[in-house]
Amino acid sequence: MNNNLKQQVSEFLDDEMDSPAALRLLTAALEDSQIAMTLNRYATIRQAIKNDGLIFDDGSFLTKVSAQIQREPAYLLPRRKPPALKETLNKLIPFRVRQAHHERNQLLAVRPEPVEGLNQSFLNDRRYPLLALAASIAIVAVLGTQSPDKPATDLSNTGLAVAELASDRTKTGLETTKPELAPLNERINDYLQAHNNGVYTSGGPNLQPSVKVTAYSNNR
Amino acid sequence: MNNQSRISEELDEELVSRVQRGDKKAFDMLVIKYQHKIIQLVNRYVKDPHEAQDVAQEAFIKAYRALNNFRGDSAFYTWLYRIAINTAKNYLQARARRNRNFEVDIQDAEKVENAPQLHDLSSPDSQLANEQIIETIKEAISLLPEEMRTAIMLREFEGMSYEEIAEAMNCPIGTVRSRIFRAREAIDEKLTPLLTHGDFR
Repeated sequence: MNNNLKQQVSEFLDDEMDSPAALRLLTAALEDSQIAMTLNRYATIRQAIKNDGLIFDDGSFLTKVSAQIQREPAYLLPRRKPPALKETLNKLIPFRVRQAHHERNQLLAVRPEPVEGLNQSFLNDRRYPLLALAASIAIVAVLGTQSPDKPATDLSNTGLAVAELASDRTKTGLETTKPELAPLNERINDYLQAHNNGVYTSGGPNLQPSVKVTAYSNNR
Repeated sequence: MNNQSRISEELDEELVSRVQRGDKKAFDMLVIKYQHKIIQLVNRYVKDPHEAQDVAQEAFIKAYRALNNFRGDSAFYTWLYRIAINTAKNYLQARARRNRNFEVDIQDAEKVENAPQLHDLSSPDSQLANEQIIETIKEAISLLPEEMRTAIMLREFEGMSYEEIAEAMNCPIGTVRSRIFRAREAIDEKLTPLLTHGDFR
């Protein structure tokens, strides 16, 4: 054991060593019993100088305690909650890099050109996405309720067409507030009427099974 | 808190934290660091070097078992001292009860090896060895060069830090460090043969 190491032991005994160096020395002492023995002898010298009760440890004390500790269960305290992704990134990425990245994003950010006549504060309104969603649903609903014999020619007029259709149906008494499917034979009749002006009578009294009609419900 | 205490506590915190994460070797390091102080402390209560070591050992085991609950509200050193003192007091109470209640049958007891009630508090042989060691150390100190003797005396008797000794002796800290080490080495050279061959406990 060299003098440098012995001097470190002396320093450690006097609590004059910084933490990392002390930790290295203690780790070495676990590997090399000579270091621990030197520490024990220096401690004994201290006791003798101070006239304390003289107790020299030949290394058996640590051996006994260590053997008992090995039989004890190891502590495994719950691990700390892992830091959030943002915290981890903040630690890993230097502040300057993050700041530069943020500034670049600010420059590259795509901003819509202001529309003439449009109130910009409306776009910033939190209700804007809800209004857009409601409008989309309304359009889908309108398209879904359009009848095949009256297609809307212009989307811009869809609202108007729906209003007119509703008005017509109210007038003719055909529309109810709750749309219900007509019986199957009626729907077939409507289909045939729309396509070839023919109608099946399903064997009604005094009627042929199929007749031509010319003006049946023509304004539907 | 002075610089020495702060450094010592930093190291303790690190080691305690390691033990709490399951590193038993870190506890061995704490034992190396504090065993001398704890044995001395316990010996002031039980007044028997053999038993002091046993009680100190028990105190360390208790400390290990309780370490899970140590939250660093006080310094580890203070906490460990409290455990050692309580263990020593409990031991004394148990010994007192045992001596009061136990009717010693000398012939039977002699057959039992290490029967605690038969321990002499300090055997004549070990007393003689201890006196010899102390005389040897005193002689070694008297033979030290003046500056080395002064440095180690200020350190051990006055408990001064290296910095304070450097101021008192008007020399660099490195010189103080070296003088104290060389003083210990000189004493150790005289002491080692006695510790190796004698019954010093």
